[in-house]
Amino acid sequence: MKKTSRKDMDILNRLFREQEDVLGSTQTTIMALECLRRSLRLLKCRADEIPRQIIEVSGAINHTEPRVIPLIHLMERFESEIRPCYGKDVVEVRQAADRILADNIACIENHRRELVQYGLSCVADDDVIFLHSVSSTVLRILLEAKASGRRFRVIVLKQAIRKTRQVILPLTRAGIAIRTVPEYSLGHFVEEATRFFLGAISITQDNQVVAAAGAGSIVGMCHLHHVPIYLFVDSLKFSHRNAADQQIHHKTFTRRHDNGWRIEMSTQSHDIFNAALVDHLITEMGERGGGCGEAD
Amino acid sequence: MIPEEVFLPVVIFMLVYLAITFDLTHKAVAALLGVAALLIANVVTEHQAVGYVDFETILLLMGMMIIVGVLRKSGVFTLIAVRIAGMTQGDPLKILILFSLVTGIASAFLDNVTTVLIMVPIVIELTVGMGLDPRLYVISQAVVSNLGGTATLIGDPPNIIIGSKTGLTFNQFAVHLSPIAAISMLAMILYYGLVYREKFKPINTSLLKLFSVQFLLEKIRFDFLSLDIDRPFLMKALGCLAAAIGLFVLQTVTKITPGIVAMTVAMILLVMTRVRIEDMLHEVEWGTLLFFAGLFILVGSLEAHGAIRWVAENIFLKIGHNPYVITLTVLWVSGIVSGFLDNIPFTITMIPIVQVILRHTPIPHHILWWALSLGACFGGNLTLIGASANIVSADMAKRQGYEISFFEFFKASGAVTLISLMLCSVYLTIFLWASL
Repeated sequence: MKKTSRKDMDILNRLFREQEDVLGSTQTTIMALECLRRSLRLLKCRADEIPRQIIEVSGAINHTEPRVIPLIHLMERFESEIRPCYGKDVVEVRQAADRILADNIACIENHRRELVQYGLSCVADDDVIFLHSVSSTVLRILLEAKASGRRFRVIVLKQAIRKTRQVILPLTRAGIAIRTVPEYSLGHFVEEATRFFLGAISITQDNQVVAAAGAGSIVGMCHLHHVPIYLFVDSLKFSHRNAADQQIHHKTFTRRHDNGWRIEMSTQSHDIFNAALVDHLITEMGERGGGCGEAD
Repeated sequence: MIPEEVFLPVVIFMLVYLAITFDLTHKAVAALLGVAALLIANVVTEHQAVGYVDFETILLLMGMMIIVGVLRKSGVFTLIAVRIAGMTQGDPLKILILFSLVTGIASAFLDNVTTVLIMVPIVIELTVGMGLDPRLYVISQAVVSNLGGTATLIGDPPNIIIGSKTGLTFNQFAVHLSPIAAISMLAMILYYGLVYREKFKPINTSLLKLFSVQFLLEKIRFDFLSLDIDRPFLMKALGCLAAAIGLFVLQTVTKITPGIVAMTVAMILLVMTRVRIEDMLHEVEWGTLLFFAGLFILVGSLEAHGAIRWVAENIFLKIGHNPYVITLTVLWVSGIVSGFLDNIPFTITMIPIVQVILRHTPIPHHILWWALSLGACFGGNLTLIGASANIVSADMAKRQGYEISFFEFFKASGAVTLISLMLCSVYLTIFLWASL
């Protein structure tokens, strides 16, 4: 199998991280599968080259930083379902691939719908809900709760404006009462909150949650102050691997300031925290016991 | 011999030109310092100075700046650029062709700098995201914006100045210059497509590259279109731009000059959209307008003291009375000088010279004005410093980590400029032959 060049991987990694920051991992997975469908329609090659090309894409997706677990699982499913079609002509393979990918997209969308339905029961009248990072599932839960007439308000913990904007805008448009505070001011508002809702990119074999950068601190603070933590994850996000294998992106760079002062910064793209800190782990099949369930 | 009273305005003018060329200070400051020197030295009075300012040009520029500012606020340009990005499907050759066509056409109606400010960031995002070197694409955007801007009266400042001073209409510019501008744009695309064909190989044989590009296009759509587009606002802004262009076209019927049209439509647009005038006044490039005003005064004083006539009679008229030689000389001198010096002061200086030439050797159908316009506008592509759009584009690429040196720009643009000037030479020669 042709190894993806470092340059191509860097481009793909950056794209995935940037989209996951503003859309969440579920929506990013759906977007990636749609892009793969379009790409297969545009691809010009012989029928016997298609398997190699699909393996190359799958291999690249498997090595993104971080791993987008639901996408990896759906790609594994896609590869196993398309395999019987190899050897047929290009048109048939393309049609089969399109159908399988459409089914995979429908699968994750169905999971999200079911998850949202379970999530609705987690929103009560007069709730004050902390939100931090973008999760399409969590946003839909709140929008549906508002539409169904529930009275609640949201405290958005601000991070980079590019990310926080994606949390605030849909809630504002829906008429949900929002207060935005810097995430480092959490301590001033933690006594007000009744729940903390978040999503994740994966839950690992060793009971760790991989979530947006900054989520770990908020989980810790909420845990200390007994604010119930609700983690909404699709079962597709349960990883076969440990936290150390999730390929969190590390970056070291020098930040220069106007007065010539420089500091060396180290950042990680995502946080990892113990799933045992989570009070309510909800999947599309309902609530699991506190902490991590069985990996698929 | 140069008359004595000419020395001071000439020296002041040369000093201002040097300050602009070597970027010793902001060009508006340089021009106005020159004006101050003229006033202090009693070379001109305040009333004479104000009389030299071509307010038609100032009004047209200011009016268009406001209209374009409101349009930018509406997000329409971003919408168009993102749609074009989607249409390319990440094909490198399609990126070159589609973005060049859109930038070229947009530049004919908007100023070149605004056009590249909108298009270049998306081109950089698209090409860098695909793992391509964006430099050639950025250079092509700058070059095509200068080519496209030549097509109409309002597309490039030299045309605005020539139109205002000579009374040539929007339609006359469009009819006589848009064909050669279009041909030059196509020649540019062909040249880059052939000479740099290795850089434009299709990606549709690699699923991974296609996948990355599709993902990137989704990201671009998301990033740029997550702004709310206010459709009524957008329609009003577009409507006013269309009305302004319509009135430019009907100038010979309405007898309303483009400057008055532009300012009036700009004010109507502000009323219709309820945009605060204070916000829109930020969109007006006051430095540019003051620069123009200062230059008009400087050149006006040169003209009043006979310096222009001296240059015309002792340099340009020495080339003889052959209309072909005169036309091609004006074209190529304008083209080469504009490649190294700011084409706005050059154009303002050349206008009275061309007027003197025409008094001695009448050349029909305003061909000499077209030669000046084509030379001044196309010549700006010769070097990085030849046009503002070039500098702005290179600056945007540098901020993304892709520095374009003077030599790199010249390597990519020099041949295209030469080709476009040769095409203009053929065009003007045929035009002149058919007219004589």
